[in-house]
Amino acid sequence: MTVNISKPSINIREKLAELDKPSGIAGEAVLRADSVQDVRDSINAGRRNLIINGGFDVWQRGTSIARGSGNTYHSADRFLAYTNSAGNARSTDVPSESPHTYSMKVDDFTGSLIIDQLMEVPTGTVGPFKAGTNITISYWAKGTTHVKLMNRLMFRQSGGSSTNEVSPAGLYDHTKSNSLSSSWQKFSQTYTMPAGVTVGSGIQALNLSIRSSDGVSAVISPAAADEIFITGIQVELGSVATDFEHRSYGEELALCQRYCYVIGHPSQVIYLGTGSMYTSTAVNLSVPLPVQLRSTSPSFTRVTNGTGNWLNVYVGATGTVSNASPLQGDYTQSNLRIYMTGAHSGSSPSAPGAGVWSMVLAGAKLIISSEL
Amino acid sequence: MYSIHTVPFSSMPYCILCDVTNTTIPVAADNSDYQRVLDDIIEQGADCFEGDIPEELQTAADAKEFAQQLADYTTATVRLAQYVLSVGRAEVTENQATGEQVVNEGTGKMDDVMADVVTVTAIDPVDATVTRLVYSDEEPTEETIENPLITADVSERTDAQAVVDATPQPVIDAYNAL
Repeated sequence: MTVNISKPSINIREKLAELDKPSGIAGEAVLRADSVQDVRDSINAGRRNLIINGGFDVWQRGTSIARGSGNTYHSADRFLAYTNSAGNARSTDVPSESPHTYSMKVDDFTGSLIIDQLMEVPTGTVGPFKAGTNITISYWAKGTTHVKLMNRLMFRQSGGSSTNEVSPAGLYDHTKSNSLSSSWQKFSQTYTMPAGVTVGSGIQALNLSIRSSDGVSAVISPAAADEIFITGIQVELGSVATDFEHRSYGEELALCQRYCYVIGHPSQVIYLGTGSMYTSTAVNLSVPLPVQLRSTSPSFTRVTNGTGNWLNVYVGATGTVSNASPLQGDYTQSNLRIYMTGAHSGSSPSAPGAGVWSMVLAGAKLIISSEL
Repeated sequence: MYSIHTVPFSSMPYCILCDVTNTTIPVAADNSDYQRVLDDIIEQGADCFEGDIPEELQTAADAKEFAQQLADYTTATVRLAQYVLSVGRAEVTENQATGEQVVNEGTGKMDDVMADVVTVTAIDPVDATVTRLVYSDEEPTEETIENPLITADVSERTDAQAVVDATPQPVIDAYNAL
């Protein structure tokens, strides 16, 4: 007996073509992934940038600082700029092909350009920067054409201090310099953490340092009239400079506030906290923190307004404006006890135990710093 | 100028007030402002303090300075131990056991097979001078200068030697005891 079977015809050539999907190397890696985590890893998604405020969005302390103000934290959050040798300010000059809103402009040079950010690691360790780990640095920059920028990575105890510094060979190469031009360029460099690096118990961070260089052997000083713009700074693990990781302003601000919290506004009185009189002139204030600080022992810097004062403490309806020095009462996690002498008048109703409420004057600031 | 201030019923020892920056600084090793206070004590001594420097701060500053000198001395010593570029490096060989053994027919015991092994490779000195082209309005001209690698090597060795020469003996003793 003969059985006839009919099947729909197929075009083998088309079927083979379907197997040859135009997915590219990255697409094929995604297709081969066994888990969602594999997919995230293969496309390097999220939480890549170890630099905080790399897009220069957050400037809690102020949007400009003149030269001669000391080599410490002054302007853009998380960045330690060596303002003994140059001033800096927030600028809206950004690469048009990038999504950035702001850059940092550095000018008025009398010395070299040094911009640091200390990336926190667990104390006394190298953190995620283990032997063999690739570390890729990228950023946009432009400036006067003869200036070159170079990158340096070293483990440090605190910003601006080389004491106990550990500078592994291979994370500092003068010859890997970036020649600036009047047009924005994106630069990237990858370093590999060498084996055998040990750090002392006081080490708290890996310090990214961006410096002006001659590109051969030394840090150089740009000319006084030179200008350098930089933005989109990213440090990530891996050998490829991926697109800048954008975080919302609120998230970036919260990340910054682990290291610095500024209370104050150019034109508004800002509420500070409540407390009670300790004596007729000294006060204890309770000041809540939006984010737990990095350290239980922050510094306080008071910045006065045009009247030479920063604080207004009220007992009932009687306020006293002063430039009292804020002292930390106890170690802190989420709330500060600030003790101040000379914060009230000493006359009625300012009696010990009286309840107080307080504010930072318009144009003044209280800077609470837990920077590395 | 720094001064010391205490807070009633505080769990902290005292605060340091800097009247230049209007900053109040805790006594805490992980605070970067505190580290700057120690740096200032190292650089300026008692001149940066109103009154006497508290013993605890002076001790911390001395320890920090000692640690820095030890680190600098270590770095300088390692730098000086490197070969001089203008001289090069001679090959060093050692007679080492290869891991093989053979029967010693005289003693009847196993003997190691030995071989000369190069433990330090030879490196030729770099050229003492280099020639470069100098451009001007005229035709480019050649100029012979000292090899920049040698110039940098000499400079770095001079700096390292200066660090070694300036290192206090207790720091050297601590290094030798490591």
